[in-house]
Amino acid sequence: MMSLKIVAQPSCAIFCAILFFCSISSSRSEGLKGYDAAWKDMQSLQFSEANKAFRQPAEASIERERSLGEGISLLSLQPRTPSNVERARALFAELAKGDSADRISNIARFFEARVLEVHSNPMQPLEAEKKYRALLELRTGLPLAELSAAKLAQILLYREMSQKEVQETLADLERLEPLLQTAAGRREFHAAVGMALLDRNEMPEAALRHLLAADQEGLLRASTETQSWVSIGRLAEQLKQPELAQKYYRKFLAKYLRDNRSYDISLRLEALNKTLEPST
Amino acid sequence: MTRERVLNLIGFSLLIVCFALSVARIVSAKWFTKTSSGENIITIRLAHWQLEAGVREAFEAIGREYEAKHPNVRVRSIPIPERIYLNWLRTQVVGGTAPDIVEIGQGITSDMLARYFVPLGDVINKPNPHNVSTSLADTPLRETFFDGMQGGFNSDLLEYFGVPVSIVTVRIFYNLDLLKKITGNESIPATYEEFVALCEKVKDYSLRTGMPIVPIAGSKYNGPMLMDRLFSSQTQRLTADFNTTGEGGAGSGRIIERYFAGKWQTTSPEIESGFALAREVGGYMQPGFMQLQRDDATFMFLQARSLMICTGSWDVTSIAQQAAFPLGIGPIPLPTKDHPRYGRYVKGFVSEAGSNASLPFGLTKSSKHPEIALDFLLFLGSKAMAKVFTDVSGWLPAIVGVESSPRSKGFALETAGFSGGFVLGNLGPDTRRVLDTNFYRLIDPSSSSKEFLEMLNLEFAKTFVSDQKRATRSRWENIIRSDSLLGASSWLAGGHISESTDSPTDEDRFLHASTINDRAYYSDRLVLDQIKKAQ
Repeated sequence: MMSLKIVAQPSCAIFCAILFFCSISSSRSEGLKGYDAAWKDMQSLQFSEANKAFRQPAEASIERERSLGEGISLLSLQPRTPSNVERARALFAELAKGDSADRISNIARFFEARVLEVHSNPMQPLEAEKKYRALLELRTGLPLAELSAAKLAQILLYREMSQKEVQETLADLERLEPLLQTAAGRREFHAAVGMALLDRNEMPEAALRHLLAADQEGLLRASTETQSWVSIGRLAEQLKQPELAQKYYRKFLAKYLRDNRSYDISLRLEALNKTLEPST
Repeated sequence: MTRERVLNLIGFSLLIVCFALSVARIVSAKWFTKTSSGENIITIRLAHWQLEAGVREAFEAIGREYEAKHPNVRVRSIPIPERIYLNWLRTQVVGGTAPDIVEIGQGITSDMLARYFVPLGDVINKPNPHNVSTSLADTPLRETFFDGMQGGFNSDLLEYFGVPVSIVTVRIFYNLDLLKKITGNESIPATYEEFVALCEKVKDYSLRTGMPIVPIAGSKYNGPMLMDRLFSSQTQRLTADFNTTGEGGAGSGRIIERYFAGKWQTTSPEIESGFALAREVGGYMQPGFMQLQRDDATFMFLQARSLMICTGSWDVTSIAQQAAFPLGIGPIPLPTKDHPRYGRYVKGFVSEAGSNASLPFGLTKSSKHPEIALDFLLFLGSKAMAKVFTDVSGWLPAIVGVESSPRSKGFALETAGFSGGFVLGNLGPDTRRVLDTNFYRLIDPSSSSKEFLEMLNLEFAKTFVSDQKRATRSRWENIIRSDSLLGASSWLAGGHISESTDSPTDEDRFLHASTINDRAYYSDRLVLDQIKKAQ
């Protein structure tokens, strides 16, 4: 046993030395890169690695970024615990304090509202609504902050309510439009309102108006584009706007001929073409 | 020398021997990894679960083609049985030893994709370099696939991870020798009426000759393929009525909401008619088929104990190689609008245009040679290799403008027609379980279908709620997970605002994903609220 111990000791020392140098070089490279690697880890769903990195103490200049990163990574960290959600909320609340208008404060304000909306148990939609409204009033010009308008639309339009209440809610939401300065903010807001009205099967004029506005900003996914274009066509037909329906059905067939709705759309277009033909 | 000292020496010697052996193995492996010109040989490994005849050979043929162009590369195909594929892959990716290229599917989750696979990113918007001097030379990779590469797209992560290589469709396979013996000709039924008449002829032939032949070989794998398609022909109009805004088919939430709103029940004429069709066709399969496995049905068909089997294009080469009779392939003959009994609820021919390309292969992050692996992946997705794939495997190609092999001709997508109707089993796992466990009652000629449908109504009132709750919970988990992605992408965007939708940034994609995921969650939750109100 003794001889083995003697043999093992120098190798242990070498091993420890290697570990020591590795840890030094690794912490040095982390220091050089700031938290970029941790943000990228988070973007590729490696939440525990990101959270671990964000829990390391930071220099004062990047302490607020660290807090923000820790808070956001806690939202998806497994296992999900009420204390993690509460810590995230507290971190966001601290960063959002005061009237600072920097990016970190505004991102934190968005996530403070988001925690109340969907992460906390029980969810607190009314509190979230207040926070989203306050953030929109700041006119940050930040796409994430402007996503608050879409979130507000979804909180408010998916409640059980009467037709009159839907109309009032919509009018209230439409007053937010002037606060949106980015194309992304407008696109998401109009898409959220248009789709919510489709899901409610109410107010077809308003649904059409918002879907058209979202389309004008440019829809990003083929699936959203196909759904919106077909819905615009169907709503336009329903509202006796055959030229508009014709335009969107043509766009659809030109771009998505392989979609399983294309046969149905081509029949609809054929019928529209007949009705729009000048009578001889 | 003490006993302890001897044991130590033995242990130490063993350690040295093992070490020496390892060194020798590594060195010898190095010696054999050089080409005749002295270049290092690089091995690209490709894992998949397609053990069907022809597919392995196709991947090997493509590998040889690549090796011929790149003498320093060896491509090794690793077929893994379907049953253990996911567990095997999980072990490999966690251990960092996953093959370079892996078939995606079999329960590989979005988490696994994000963690262990390389997103294809901008590669999909550039022409495939292996399509040079073909008609697709200038076409972006994504557009070279008949489905716009949707088969390789992950909607949770809003990223393309897979390069698909085939399309699959479901058809009815016929034993042409037996068909001729029974009917006097090889004519395959074109309509539902002809199909039923043929099934009756088989039954009659079996009775007359005493030969134990059933019309259709069924199993819990093959049976629902046929019966679900027939059932969906009867819910086609109903589904279209529920989907007034023309979105891509009414989702399960909307179907369930309509159920609680009293718009349909299991005793509704459309559903009754769907079950009547399933009962009629199920009666032409062997008794107890829902207790049998896929292999049992295939074996029965190969032994000529059934005239037909309903299965997918993936089985064509395996069955053709093993069958001692010529094969006929025909579509599933759905009732048309003119059918006297089942035509009332049919809207029209069902289109297969919405099908996505399948067999997507992705690049793993643990690949030791990611550039070469990606190049091979693009080679696999090229027009020339799609031709090799279809010719050797007999499967349909996924690339536009590639002629299918003669074996796969009968499987071509039928693109004209309307969307199909909903299928009860797709409304959720609890609903599917109730259907499967009670299916025998539908087929049993002594049981009353009215009793069966009323029992289902009672059961569905519970399973629809639990399935809807599960779906809502799953939507919620999706939005919870995507919030951190949204935050990270927003931070990494650095406040830069993209005004162009032609090349959206990661932040743009995650902002939009957040709206879409929230919409799915809120609309499912609204359905739950409406169910509560209706109850």
